[in-house]
Amino acid sequence: MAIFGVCAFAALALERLGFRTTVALSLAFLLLGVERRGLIFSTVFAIAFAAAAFLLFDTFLRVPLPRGPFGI
Amino acid sequence: MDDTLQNLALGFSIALSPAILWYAFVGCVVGTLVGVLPGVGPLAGISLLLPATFGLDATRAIVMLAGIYYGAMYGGSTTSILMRIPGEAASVMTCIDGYAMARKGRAGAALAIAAVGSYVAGTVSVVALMLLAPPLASFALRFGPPEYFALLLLGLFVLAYMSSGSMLKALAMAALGLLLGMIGIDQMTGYFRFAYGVVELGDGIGVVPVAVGLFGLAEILATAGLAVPPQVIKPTLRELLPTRQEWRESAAPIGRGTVLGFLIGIVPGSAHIISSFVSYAVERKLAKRPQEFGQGAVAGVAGPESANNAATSGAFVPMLALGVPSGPIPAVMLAAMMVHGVSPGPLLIKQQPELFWGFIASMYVGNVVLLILNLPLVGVFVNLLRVPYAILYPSVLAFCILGVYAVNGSVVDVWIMLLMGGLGYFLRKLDFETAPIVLGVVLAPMLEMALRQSLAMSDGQYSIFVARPISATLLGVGLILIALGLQPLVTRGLDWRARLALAEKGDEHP
Amino acid sequence: MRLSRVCSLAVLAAVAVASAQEPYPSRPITMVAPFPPGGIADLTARPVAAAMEKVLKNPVGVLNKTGAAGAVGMQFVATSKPDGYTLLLALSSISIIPEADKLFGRPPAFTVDQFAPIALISADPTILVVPADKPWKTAAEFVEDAKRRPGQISYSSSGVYGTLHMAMELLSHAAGIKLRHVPYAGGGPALTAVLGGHVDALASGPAVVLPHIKAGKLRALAGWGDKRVVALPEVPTFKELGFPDAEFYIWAGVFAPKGTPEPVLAKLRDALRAAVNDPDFKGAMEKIETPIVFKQGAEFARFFEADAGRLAEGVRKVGRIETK
Repeated sequence: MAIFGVCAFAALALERLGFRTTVALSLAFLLLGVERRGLIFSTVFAIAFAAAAFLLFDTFLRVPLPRGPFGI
Repeated sequence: MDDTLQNLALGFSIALSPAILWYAFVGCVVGTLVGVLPGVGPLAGISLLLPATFGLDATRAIVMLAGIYYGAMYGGSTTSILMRIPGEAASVMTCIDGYAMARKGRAGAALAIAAVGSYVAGTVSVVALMLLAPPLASFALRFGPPEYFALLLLGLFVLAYMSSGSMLKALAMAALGLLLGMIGIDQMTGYFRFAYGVVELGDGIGVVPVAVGLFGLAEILATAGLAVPPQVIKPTLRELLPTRQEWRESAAPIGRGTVLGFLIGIVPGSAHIISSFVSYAVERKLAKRPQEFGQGAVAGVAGPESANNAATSGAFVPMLALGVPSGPIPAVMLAAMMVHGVSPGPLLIKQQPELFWGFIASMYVGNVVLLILNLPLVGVFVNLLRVPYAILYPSVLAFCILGVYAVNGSVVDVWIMLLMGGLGYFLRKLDFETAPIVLGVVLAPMLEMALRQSLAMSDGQYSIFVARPISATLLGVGLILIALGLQPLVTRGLDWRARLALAEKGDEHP
Repeated sequence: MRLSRVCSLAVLAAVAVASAQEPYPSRPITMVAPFPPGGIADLTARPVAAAMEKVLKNPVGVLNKTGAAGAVGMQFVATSKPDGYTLLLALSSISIIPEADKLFGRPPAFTVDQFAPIALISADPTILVVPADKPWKTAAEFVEDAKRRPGQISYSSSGVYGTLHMAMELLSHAAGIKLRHVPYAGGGPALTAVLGGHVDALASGPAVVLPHIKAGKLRALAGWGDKRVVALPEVPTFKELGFPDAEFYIWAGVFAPKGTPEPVLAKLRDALRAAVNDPDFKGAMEKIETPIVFKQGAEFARFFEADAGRLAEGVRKVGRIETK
């Protein structure tokens, strides 16, 4: 159920908050809230994952991904 | 023949020059990366990356695109096998037995066989492409809407063979898929059907979000919902390689898949998608132990993977020989040629032999590069399964969303994936198979279009289907298939009547 | 790297709050191509964007926002903030879609007056081609035969109410003939159909059929332009043949959302005028064999209005298609 909720959140937020913010928040929620991983691990993993995926696809492969306000 | 060899030598001298080789390699790597992304198959990969090649010269750009295309093809099977996430409609069949193999600890074997199968299919069909392109291409052009309709109908009959469980359930799922496929603009009149004011639904429901939702997301929902997290599979090095028996069992399916896929592939249109479905059905029918299908049968990976690869190479036949945009992927390739000032057409081979033969040779080279690249990568990919599920599934989820979004830049697609994920989850609980839904979604628009185009051509005369030799033949084969399918039913019916008759006799003479 | 960043700014442009004081342009501009990469809109948008980038000294990125025959991308721009940071590269179909929506009585995805025309980039008349083994040698023979056998000669198109369909409909009305329409999903399959001899004719942009005409597979009968096509000087126009109403172009033009401030529009017009004279841009258009036809301001508005009028008329004449 939580997973379903996260997907719905992601669909809603993707074009409003931008790809990186949305994915980082979703991952952090799943790791921290659902899977009860450590706070530091979850945060670092979520942010690193979002940034790396964005870098790879948007920057290197030129696949446009949505950005949120202030270009994040 | 001598000409061909000479030209091929020219092609290889181009394809093996360091600069071109480098672009082929880069294309393969990038293609693999993109292909591994859930939801992004060869078509999406190639259209997403097309602009990145605009800065190169014609031959380099085409070679790189061919590499991207092959790479995406190989990459797609990886996620299908490891995580049950199809990169495109054609990998759906690989998901079923490939993932079952992975769950049994044979992920490495499945990946290796998929790679080798794709390599064999790719190489053989390039040879066929080279030798047979001109005659095959003019034959392929004779496939108009009526022939296409007959071919697709044949594909639909295959549904009847696909299910391992209840036939009724499989047909129900196929019907659901066909219904979902009806959504979108009516191609013949311009009406919006079932779009409810959502402009994005005008193009219908995309196959990619449906496939990723029904397979990938449903799998995540089902597994993450378990109280006990699934056992992490720890493959040892020895288990990475297929056993001798697995090789033996996959050799024939690879061969059959290649021939089947190539033949289906040369037909203009999107029919190549059904090649993997048809191959799966054929392998199941021919298997000594059909009950193993769905439980991790090697042939269920080898056949469809080869068919899929051969089919998309087959699609290049009309493109290269006649300059006809014979399918979505060749259409993108043709556009790429135009950007570089090459006018694709029947005269391409004569006017730009370096480009044409360089392209052919680079298809060989690309296949070899990918085999070399992918076999060692099998070990790396399999190790992904060692990642604890609690971390793996959120990441996979993020990639699913990324992949589905990126293809069309559409949030609507993400919603469709989400709904299909929920649907797939419940259907699994109820023991329904979801592959027929995907086939239905793929076939419905093509089938409808072909039928109505045929009738538009003939001014409403259904006789067009039997008046044209190719479509009549195909329909005939379909009828025979149905007859064969009904045969057990009829024989059983006779038994029953015979028994009744006996019983009646018994009644009369107590 | 810079270019790719730009691409993803479409969304930013839609949500970010831009201050009115800053000089234009101070942020990357997004040009939306409502068709997939490799299509004519995309192939025009990319060199235009690259040339504009040079002129404006400001990044201009192309975003392919595809779906529903272009309606998705066009709607996206129509509802974007009119600040000059989201532009549209539209084809002729921009005036067909709202008209078709009207025909079916559905809420339109967008209307033509939601856009401010900036400049016309290219205009290519369609030409009538038939398979080389068909009997008609001239357009006159074709029209005559169609009169004799109404509804018997078939043609393929890129889709119902699509540009290639409209071209044929305009001809049918101008010549008083009735042809049989077999729609396909896109220009590619439509071309395949006429090459395979499954239909008798096709109206198409010259660039895609030229190689097949040269190879002797197709024969060009006439063109829809007011001048002959440069690459096919021996092919007459329908105007010359006495059908002045059979005029149709596949054109590409740049639009901004309505309400974009006039100084911004003026700046964009200047930038585009400089861009079409850029040698790189000229080279790119030559490669896709599309002639540059530049019109801006009142001239473009007139062209656009006349074209939209013809097409609206065409759509209404076709009416709703009832299938048997």
